[in-house]
Amino acid sequence: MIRKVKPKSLERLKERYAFMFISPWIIGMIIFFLFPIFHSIYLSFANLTIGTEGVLTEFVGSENYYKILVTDPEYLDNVLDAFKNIFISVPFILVVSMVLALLLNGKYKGRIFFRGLYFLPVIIASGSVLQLFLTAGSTNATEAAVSDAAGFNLIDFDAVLGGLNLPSFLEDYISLALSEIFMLVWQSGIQTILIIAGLQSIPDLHYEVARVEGANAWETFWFVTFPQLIRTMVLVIIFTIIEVCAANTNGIISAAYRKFNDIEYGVGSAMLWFYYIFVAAVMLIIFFIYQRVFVKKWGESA
Amino acid sequence: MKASPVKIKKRLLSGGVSVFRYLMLIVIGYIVIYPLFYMLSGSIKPLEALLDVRFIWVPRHISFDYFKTAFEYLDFLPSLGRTFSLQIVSAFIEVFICAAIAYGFSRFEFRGKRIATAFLMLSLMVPLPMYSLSLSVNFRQLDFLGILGLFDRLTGVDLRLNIFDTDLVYWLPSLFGVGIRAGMLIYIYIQFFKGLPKELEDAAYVDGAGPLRTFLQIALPSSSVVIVTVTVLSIVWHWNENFLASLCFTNQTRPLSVMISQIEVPLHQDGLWLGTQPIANTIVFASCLLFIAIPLVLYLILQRKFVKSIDRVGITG
Repeated sequence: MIRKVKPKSLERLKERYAFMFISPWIIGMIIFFLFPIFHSIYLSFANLTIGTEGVLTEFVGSENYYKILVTDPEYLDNVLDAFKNIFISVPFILVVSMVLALLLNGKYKGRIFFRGLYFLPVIIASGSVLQLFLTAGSTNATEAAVSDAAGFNLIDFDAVLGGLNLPSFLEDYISLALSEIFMLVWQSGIQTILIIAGLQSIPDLHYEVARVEGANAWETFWFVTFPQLIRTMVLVIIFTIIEVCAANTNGIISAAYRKFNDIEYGVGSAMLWFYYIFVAAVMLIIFFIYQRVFVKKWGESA
Repeated sequence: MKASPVKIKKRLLSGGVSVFRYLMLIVIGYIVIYPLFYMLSGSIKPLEALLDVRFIWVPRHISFDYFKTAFEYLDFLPSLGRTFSLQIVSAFIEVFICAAIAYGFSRFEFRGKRIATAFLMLSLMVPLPMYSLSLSVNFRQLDFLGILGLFDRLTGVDLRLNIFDTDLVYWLPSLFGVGIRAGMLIYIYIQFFKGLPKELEDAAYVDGAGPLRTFLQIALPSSSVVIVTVTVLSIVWHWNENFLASLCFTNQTRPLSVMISQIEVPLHQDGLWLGTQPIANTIVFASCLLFIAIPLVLYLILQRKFVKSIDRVGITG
């Protein structure tokens, strides 16, 4: 009897300890996360005025959505652009950060220097500086001359691509990605960090086994590195989608914040949430694929 | 001693790999560093020189006038002070609190852990710009599940705090572990704690230490590796945050991140910004550099530690 009671009370004790640590977070989540989200969704169906007598909300039904979808000529185009941007940027950022992580990982001379260099974008790209650089730089009359002189246009990428005989959609995609290469490389900073940390956490033992079994580098990557990295990759994909969809450069976000500045809070919220439904759908599809394909294939290790 | 053909082949291969590695790193490194140099050289040369193609990188005359102008447009020192008192303080609060929450998540079993983890994931998936307006409205009448609002209706005593336009806008969410990108930080901590051996902590329990003491004196000191990573990320994210700040500070001095994101407004008024593009690129570049200077220096100091800490954090996902 006594033996049965004891572990249970220990369990209770541990549970009490757990709530000691996380209860502030639970309260914080309700006040500063869940409530604002519900409020914001409600707001997209309402009109909000902040006057001298406080905050007044008036329910107006789907009027805000009608405004953005029918009356506003730009909104739907903006959504489409934002999605195009997500589909172009996210795969490219993932590939770049994966390649960078593989290059930066491992032992070689000057690794501290190179790693230091490659994490510079982390400091800069999450704010408005990159956006300002691009507006100030690209509209500059001397820009063409500058990039020519800097050797960046020495290679005519379009001509090279044309010679490769790729399918046209792939060709368009690559030339578009190349034209935004600064933007995309600069957005890969945190992803690179996350992937390097993920790579470091794979036990050396597994590589040892692969070596003994006679696997070459390519096989080692696909059978050892990739399966163990897939969970990190899901996190990185979600993170990247969020980064791209809520960046300062995003058309929807800036349009919505312009509405907020014009005190049209309801319309701005509607803009955000209508757009977010699709973003959330993309993320859910990724989770679904991960669960269905990868967890099934590699079981718990993935 | 003669090397066998297999060894030579292997050596050649690894030599080829390392040449390829350096080549790629330098080429992509060029893309990374290019905007920085471009801004730097663009901000120190006089306007006429900008059009002179022969002197793209190193201008003949260096002038720091643009920094002076940018200094004024950014209202630099007051805004910088505000950034520190508001965002950097909040960043440090967050680094500490998130560690405690992640410790609770990773060390103890409790009912509803799956649901709590799901909500943690949700907080990663909904970016702050989505709800920062409602957050700022909420700051005017801080309430918990409408209880204080009900109390106000019943008794006429309004206990709801108005923290709008005060430093608490950042501090309070950070204190509750739901500040700027707290979800991500908690997640990184959890992954680290999962790999941290439990034995030392168990020994502390046997010796009669409480959970808080064990956390503060055993777990936290052995986590310096992950703390470096989290601190750098938290400071950078706070430094750059402008959505919440632009909505919440109307009367007070605004932090640098807001000043830089709205730099076109004063430039517009002075006729230095037409339509969507600035006329005075140099001023824009100079203010960008001023904005990133401090995190950059901080990063260069912490860089070695940061790079090493990433190796050992091991975010498995």
